Amino acid sequence: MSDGMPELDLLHRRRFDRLVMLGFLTVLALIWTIPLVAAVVRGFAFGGWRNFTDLMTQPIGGISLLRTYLNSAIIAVIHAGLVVWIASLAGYGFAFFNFRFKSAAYFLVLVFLAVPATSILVPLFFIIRELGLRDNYLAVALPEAALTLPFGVLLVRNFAETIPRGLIEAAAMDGATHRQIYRQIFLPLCKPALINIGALSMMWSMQDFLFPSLFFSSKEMTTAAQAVLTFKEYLGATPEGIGRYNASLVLLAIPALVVVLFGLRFITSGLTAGSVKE
Amino acid sequence: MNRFMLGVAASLIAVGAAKAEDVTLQLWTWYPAEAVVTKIIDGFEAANPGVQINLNLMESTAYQDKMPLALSSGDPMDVVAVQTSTMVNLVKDGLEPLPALFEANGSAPIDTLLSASALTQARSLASDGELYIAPMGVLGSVAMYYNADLMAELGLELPRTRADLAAFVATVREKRPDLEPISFTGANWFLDEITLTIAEQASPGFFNSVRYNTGGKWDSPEYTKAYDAIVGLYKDEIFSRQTLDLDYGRAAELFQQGKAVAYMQGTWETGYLSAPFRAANKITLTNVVASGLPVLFEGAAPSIRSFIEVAWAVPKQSAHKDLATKFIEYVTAGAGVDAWSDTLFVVPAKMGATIPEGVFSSDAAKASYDELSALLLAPGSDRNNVSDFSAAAGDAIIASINSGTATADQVKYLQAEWDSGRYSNAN
Amino acid sequence: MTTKPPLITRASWADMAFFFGPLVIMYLVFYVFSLAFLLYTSLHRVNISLTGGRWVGFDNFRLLLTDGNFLTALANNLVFAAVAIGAGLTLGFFIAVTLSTGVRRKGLFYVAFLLPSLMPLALIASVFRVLLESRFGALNETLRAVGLEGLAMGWLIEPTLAYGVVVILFVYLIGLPVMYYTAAMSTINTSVIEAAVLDGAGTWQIMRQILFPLLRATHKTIIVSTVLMTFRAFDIVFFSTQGGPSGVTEITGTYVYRFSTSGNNIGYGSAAALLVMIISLVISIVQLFMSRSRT
Repeated sequence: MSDGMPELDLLHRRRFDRLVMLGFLTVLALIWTIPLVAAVVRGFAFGGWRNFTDLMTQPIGGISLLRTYLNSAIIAVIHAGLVVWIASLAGYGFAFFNFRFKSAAYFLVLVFLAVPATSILVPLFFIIRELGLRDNYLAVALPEAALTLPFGVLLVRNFAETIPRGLIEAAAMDGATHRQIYRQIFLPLCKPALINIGALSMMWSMQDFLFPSLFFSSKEMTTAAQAVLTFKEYLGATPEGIGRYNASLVLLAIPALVVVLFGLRFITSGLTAGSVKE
Repeated sequence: MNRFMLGVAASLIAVGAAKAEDVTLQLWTWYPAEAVVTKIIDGFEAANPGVQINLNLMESTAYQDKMPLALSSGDPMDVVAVQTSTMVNLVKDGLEPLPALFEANGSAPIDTLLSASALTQARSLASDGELYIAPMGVLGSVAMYYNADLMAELGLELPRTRADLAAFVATVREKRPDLEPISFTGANWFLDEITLTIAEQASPGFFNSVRYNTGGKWDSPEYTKAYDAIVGLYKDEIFSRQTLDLDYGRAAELFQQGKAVAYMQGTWETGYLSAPFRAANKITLTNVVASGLPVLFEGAAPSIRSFIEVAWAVPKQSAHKDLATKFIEYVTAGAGVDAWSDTLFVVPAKMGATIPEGVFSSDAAKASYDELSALLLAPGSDRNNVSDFSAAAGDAIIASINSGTATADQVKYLQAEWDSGRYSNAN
Repeated sequence: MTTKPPLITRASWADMAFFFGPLVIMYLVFYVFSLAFLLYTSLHRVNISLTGGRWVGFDNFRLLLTDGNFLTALANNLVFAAVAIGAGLTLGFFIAVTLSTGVRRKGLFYVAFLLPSLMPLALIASVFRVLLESRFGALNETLRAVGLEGLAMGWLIEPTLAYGVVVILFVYLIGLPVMYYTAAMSTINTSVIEAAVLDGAGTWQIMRQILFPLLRATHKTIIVSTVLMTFRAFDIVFFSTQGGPSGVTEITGTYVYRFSTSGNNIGYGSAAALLVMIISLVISIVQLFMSRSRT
């Protein structure tokens, strides 16, 4: 994490201030990590490592933990794929086309960034039922992608604006079509932004509890975020039960943790790039 | 066009099947669990050689979507389970009325096979009052289950009155402060169920009078009395406020692990009384008894609100209505009852049903079951909840328990909410 | 920042379809249709099967706006947002600034604060909920073990305490403001700071009078994104208090969820969903206009 972070030599030769600030910071950081550390520690309660190994090998309430990983991963990939594809196309269009009402259209696209997932539940019930998508990964991946698209388009368009125009113009001069330019020049150049939005999509997908819980009824399709609720019902309130429940929370956090730790750079630069509007 | 082809194919198959005397019935249901349904099916197939049953089993919410869809699409279906809710009205146009079917194909008229109160409730679910569904049984709330071993250790008797209950709780707290005297979920809907049970003790039929719009009101002396009673139970610490953040699973687990002496829930939990059920679900309790909620008022009687659960019907499109009827009779009123009755999740609607040998591990357990059973089969009111309103009522009760909001204000508020049209009761 | 002149003016219809087609389809299905659908069902009394509805005009909206619980939910959105903003602009600011002064292992600190915001909130809220259970939760057990029995309260049972718990949960997501500040500070011209340092200005002074005003744009970003976040929030309350006890901690997300999934009065749920969606869109429009006028 050493690249990309600013260095302010604010505390040059101010040892006292530095100590105070550092002390306060450390206390805060410790407080912030307590809940997660507590979860891990309680995960070992009464069963030690067995809590974790049991959870990995035996199904709980008919749901296998590893299967939830798989489900979450599949949905995350579909979601990210959809967003990368659609947003890169539209981002290119907004950056390099000119047409009437373009700014109005762009405005409209961005406005829907604010839509809460809970607000579109009722229409989604209808759509998913009519399209017969119940217990289909698309039933979750499609709405998730729809909700991520405004941000995705924003990100790609902003990035596209930073591409040297000369490159595109030269290609156009040579008679390349938009599609060719998109495929051969734009996409490769856009990789950082696409990775950003891909990582963000995957992270948001892992966070999603609402859609899987409402559109999946088969136990086979349970995702990691959803399993939190199911496990709560099955793993009980006794000390042993709490140990196993905490262990399950830790294990369920792992896919999200992996995505975040590996993609942290992309996630943060993606989120902050999106916040800088032109 | 599709439907026509399906119909042709189906009838061809049916004709062909009839000729070969080897019939396959399509059975659709969400409950009971696969192991139990399979047992039922195997028993029927053994008693009816030449008949095969194909099981379409799916989860409850999926069932709510798929079954009505398949029914209206004309799919081949012979026996379908119907949820005892608004689903009945949703699908009844595709179902055959049962009395006629039983006259033609059953061993006796359906009214002589299943209990009167169960059939009345079944009829009430259809807007035209016709009998489309045959219920497996009846369940309700609330009941109390006790760890008999702990009770013996503490020298406790089954509490029958409020005073008994207070003494019960006090004894546990004094002798074994590590145990929870009564474990139950503090969820809003459950507190509402408890309150309604209390109301029925003093005023049987109260809930029906509100639910079916025959003049009952939340803003009434009957409900106010019950509301005060439950708030009073918390104030006098007979019910512990500490249980308010327990959810369903946690409360059950406390009881199962022997950390609570008593457990309060609906009668669908009666499996605790059954030795085979406990074994199948790895519950380590050895001795469980049960009772209705102790009577909280002078001159009141124990009560449980009950309703039918899991009912069977014959679709109009079935090509084997005779066999379908036979199956329904088998599972609700015939030998098939033994295949599921040891789970005790419902009291069978079958007239004169008895529980097989070996289910109860003690006479006291059997006596408990008989007590609950009697209460369930003669309810004062139907357990026909309006679940979104139930949550609101529970929230009001919790507010009174936590912040002392006056009963008079709350019941007025609840009546206004009931009349508002915001919830699923109004039309 | 001026937008550069468009590159290729001629974009054929085929091109438009190719590049914007997928986006338009997604939007039509999931946003336009949703709005229309919500509008339609909110004017009816209808159940989840969406058949056999009855026209009720604006009744559902009238009921909605006279429901104390809904108004509480709206108010809670704003209160929780305000607290989260307050924490972000103070604590978050402080953390970001400190981290940027050359702290060793700043990556670790950074992750510690940011991780909760990036994990499934269902998990985070569940962890808190289990921690705070009055009988077997780790917090109360620890308090009892060290003899502070009196402090072992019903964190999720008492309305005021439960409210405090949700507030703390929102503040727990301070990682995002920290991240925004960190990114913004990388674009600051450090010469101003250096000059102030050499002049001997106090650290606190520099932070308050130079850095803080410099980051005005980030403050605005955080304020708006936090408000929008509370309107989009659901998991964080659903998994900790479920809007309880007695609806005290309800937010619009949990309210809409409750009435959208209750099965029987979908019209009312749609009205709530529509109103919340409109409010969110209005906030979004205002924000977009504001950021445009800045350029």
